[in-house]
Amino acid sequence: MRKALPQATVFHREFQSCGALLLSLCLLLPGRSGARECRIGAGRPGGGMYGIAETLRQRLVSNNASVRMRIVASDGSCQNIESLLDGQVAFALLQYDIASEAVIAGSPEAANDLQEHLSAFLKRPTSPVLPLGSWPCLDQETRCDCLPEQCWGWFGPVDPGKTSLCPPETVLSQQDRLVDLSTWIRNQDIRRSLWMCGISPWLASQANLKVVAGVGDESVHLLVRSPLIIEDFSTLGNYRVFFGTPLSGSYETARTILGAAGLVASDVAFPGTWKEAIEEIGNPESNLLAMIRTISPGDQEVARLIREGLVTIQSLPDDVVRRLIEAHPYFRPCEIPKGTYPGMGPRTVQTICVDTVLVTNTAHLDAPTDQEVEEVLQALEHLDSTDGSGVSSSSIRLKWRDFGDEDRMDLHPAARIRLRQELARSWGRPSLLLVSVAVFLMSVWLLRNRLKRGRHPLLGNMRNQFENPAWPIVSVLALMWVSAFTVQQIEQPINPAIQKVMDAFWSMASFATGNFESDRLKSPWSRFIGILTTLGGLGILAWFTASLTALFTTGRALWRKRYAGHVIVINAHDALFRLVEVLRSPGPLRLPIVHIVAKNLPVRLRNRLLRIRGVLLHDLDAEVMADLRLLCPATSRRVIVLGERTEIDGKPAGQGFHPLRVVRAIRLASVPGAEPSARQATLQEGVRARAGSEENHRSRGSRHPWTVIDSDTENANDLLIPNTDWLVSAPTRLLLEHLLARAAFDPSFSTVISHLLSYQNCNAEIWTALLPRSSASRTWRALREALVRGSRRSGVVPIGIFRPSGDPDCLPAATESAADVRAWLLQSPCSPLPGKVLLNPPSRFLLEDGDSLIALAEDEKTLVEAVDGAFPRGRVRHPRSG
Amino acid sequence: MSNDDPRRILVFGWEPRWKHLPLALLEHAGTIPSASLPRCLRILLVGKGDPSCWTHFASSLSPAWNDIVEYLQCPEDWPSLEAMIEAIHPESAHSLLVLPDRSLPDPDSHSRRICSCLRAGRKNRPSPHLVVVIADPDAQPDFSTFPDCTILHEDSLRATLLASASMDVAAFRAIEEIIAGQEMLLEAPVPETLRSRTFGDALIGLDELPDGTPISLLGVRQSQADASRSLWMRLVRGASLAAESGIFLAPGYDFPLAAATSLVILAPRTFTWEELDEAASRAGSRQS
Repeated sequence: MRKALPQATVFHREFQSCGALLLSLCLLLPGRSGARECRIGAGRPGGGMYGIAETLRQRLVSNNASVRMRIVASDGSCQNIESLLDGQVAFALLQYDIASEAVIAGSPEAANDLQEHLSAFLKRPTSPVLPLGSWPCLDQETRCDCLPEQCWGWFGPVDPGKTSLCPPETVLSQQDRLVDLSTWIRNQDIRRSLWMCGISPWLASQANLKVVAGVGDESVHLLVRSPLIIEDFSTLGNYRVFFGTPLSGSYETARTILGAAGLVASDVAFPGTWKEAIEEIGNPESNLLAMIRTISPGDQEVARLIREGLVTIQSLPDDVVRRLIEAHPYFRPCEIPKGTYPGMGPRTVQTICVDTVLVTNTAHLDAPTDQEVEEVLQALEHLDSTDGSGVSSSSIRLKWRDFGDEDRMDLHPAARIRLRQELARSWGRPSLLLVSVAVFLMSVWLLRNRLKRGRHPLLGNMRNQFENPAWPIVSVLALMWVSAFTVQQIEQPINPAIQKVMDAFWSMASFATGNFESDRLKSPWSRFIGILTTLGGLGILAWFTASLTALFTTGRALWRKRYAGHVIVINAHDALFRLVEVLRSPGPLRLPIVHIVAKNLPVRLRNRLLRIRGVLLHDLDAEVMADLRLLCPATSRRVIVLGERTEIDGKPAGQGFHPLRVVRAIRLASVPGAEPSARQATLQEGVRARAGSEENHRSRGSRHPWTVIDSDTENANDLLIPNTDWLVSAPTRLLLEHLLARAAFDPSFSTVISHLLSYQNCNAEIWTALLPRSSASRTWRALREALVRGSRRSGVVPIGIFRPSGDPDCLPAATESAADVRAWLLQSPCSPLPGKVLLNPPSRFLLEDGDSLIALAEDEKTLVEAVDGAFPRGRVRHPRSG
Repeated sequence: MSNDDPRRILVFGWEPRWKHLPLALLEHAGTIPSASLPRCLRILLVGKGDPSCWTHFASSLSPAWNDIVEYLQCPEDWPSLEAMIEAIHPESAHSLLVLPDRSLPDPDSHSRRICSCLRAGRKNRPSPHLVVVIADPDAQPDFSTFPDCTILHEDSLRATLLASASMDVAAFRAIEEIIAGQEMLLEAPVPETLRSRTFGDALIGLDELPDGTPISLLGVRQSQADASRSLWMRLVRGASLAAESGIFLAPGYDFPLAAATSLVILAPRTFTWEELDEAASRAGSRQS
């Protein structure tokens, strides 16, 4: 548009002469040698803008700045923007919405908008008819070769020659039109229907407005005659509303608000001044219902009106605010805090705000330099109450961003530097804090890892950490707070529903739990963050659910499974696989977790063991009591100590753990009260509680685990003598050699034994079952008959009796089923290990209380059921249980 | 399951860690080494170690051991090994035991060489019973070509014994008693009086010999052909053992003894068929 306009105009000539006059005035002014005086457009004397301008002027003088201010009083923002656009002033204080409208009006797109507006306007039935051939087009292809002179100042200059050749009368007569275009152009209402203050698009296009700083924050005050309440703005159509003096920013803002409410300003405007309106609103007979003023919160005059009960301050309707924000992004939702005015009640007032900005026009020939703007900024920053004019430092809050949804106006270069400094100040400190916290946490984590090295591998690893439900809780809180803070920063200028961090927090809390509502957020970036929050929240929710489930089921059960009723195997060689296979084979009392502690375990063995589910390898020293205690031997089902293997795969296997020292370590590690940690202590206490009361355990002595030792060692007797009540000697090598010897004479013998030891399905093995007390005093023959007759389907074959020789009090109660008795035996600290096996007893052999039946059966459960079937147990109270 | 007429036992791959084996062989041959050692059993230990290792070991035992047990150092090279095996006439032995060599990366390689020499020297003559102890269970197929060969996996057996001890100590003690004790596993034909009965009936009645010696019926043996056709493996709870051996331990109370060729009995001593028949008759009369 700019290139389309002719450059040499009368305006330019006037402008140049005006600029020369301003320059000469600046040079002639007293003060600092070489100081230049610039005019600043302020409002009416006594107004807020004027006060700021006056204070700035004084500060510049006191600063001995190279620039001075000369205040030009005006009717308000509209006159200020006109003055700034046509170069009458170098600076102007005005509302941000007015300045933004000027920028919009000067944009290339404004020409099209103008034509569309005019076209729409002219098509209205009530509009004056404009000759289409006389369109005030702004391009070179203009059809308006005979525009009236009156309109050039607004639509832009036209060729003066053509203007003189085409008087309006000629145009009208030739086009046979009814309306004088100049009359239409002079109509302020029509001009204002396009842009605020009727800004000339041509002048705006010639300007380059830059924001020096935001110097104030003004809120729209809806003052309603007391005690009325306006819920719907449409009711205002029947009354009068005062919304300021024409050409003021307050007037334009109120006009826009009423337009957003569907009202025409001229229909409801109160034709009077502010003082007249104040007098009128106190009159009950008056038609004046409300006043809309855009002023700084805390205005003395408004305070007086509210205090006197003449008016109440009310919130703007939500729909009006929403439409305003969407249509005019330079407005931003805000609130007038409670207590701002006496008598406004214990609530905040939702309204819209607009900033007061100091603007300069850098396209002006006499535009202030960067240095001068910098001095102006310095003066603004140091304003305080001593500067007089009623302007305090608290009322001047400099800002360079967040003027609205979109900062449509560019900042002056000097102001841009301030913005960067402010951003560095506002974000640098939190960033530095965050980095410091991150470094600290990383250091703690590294230190913790270093301290943990060599400790129990299961006590703390990443997986265990993630299984802790506290982490997802912390994570979701962190996610909500971070997203809430970010969204609040983005949404606060444009979204009336999100003004505080807590507003955003509750929104993000609903998002994080999967309740995404797109209309809660206005900005696309906020919505994107909302989506991320929703996705992250859903993930964290799933994590929380999983960890909570793990806590109540897997985690606790896994811990108990690992460290209660587990099997500890010490030393390792190839026999381990078969051992683990049997221990982990399906069965009523099998499938325990197997903990293996081995020294110098070959990689081949280690890799094979790691593939077995339920097998855990530990790099511990089994000869050290403190290490062994980590495996909770007191709560283990069995401890199996393999013999030392001197060679594995033809290579020296190194020294294994010595069985004697291992047994000593087990004995020490099983002493109650010597648990390594509170967690394990709790666990062990729980396990003990299931087995019986603590007093019983104390009376029964220590809680040593049944330890099976591969007694292929020279000092087996040394091991067994002091530990006979809990140590089982298994001379496997001796038995192997006996089996070899028997196989040498009888091949079938080895076949039978091999199958008895195969522990496979559908295979009979040797099992034992505790006989009930009702079987006592019976003969072996009677037992056999009872078994066969009582449970014909079991097929068990009795072959002998195991008679314990331990503490007679350490016998299970005979009141429960055999399975319960078996479970009691597994948990009982009283070990019936010492005893005698009577294979193939005589038919008249008398059974005693505590005897166990040795029989061939498919599995242990079958044998137990057969015994239960042969000797139904009565509910006899055992003497020890009382 | 007879242990009559013990002759020579050859043990290949012996080393001092198998120190209990000679004594166990003597014990289960029905002889206890003492001042009056039986002359009917001879044990030849063949090992890679120096003879002094056996001398040193035997010196701690009774001097009479030297009359029963002989040690022979096994040569390393193949021809010498073959010649040595031929020289000791393995075909005349009662049984041959081949032990693994743990000092080798493949502990069973030495056993394979010995078995190859034994097979080469057999020359269509009936071979004695062969018991091979293997270290690697995967090596079992290497020895399956030898007839009448019993293959035992050393580590598996020891591990299973340990597992048994850890699961059920009393059961382990019972197994220990069966393997190393004096009880014997005997096999006897099914008495005529029990032919029409079931296993459960025999289990109730057959609990002692006429002289009061207690016996325990453990299972039955079918002929291998019957065993392979038998449905009892699938139908009867507790039926067990491989079909190829024909032995069923705890076959179920309803198992008809008519289908069995013999009974598997646990007894402290051997007995005659007549003793068993009489015991069965007494059991029948007692039940009736």
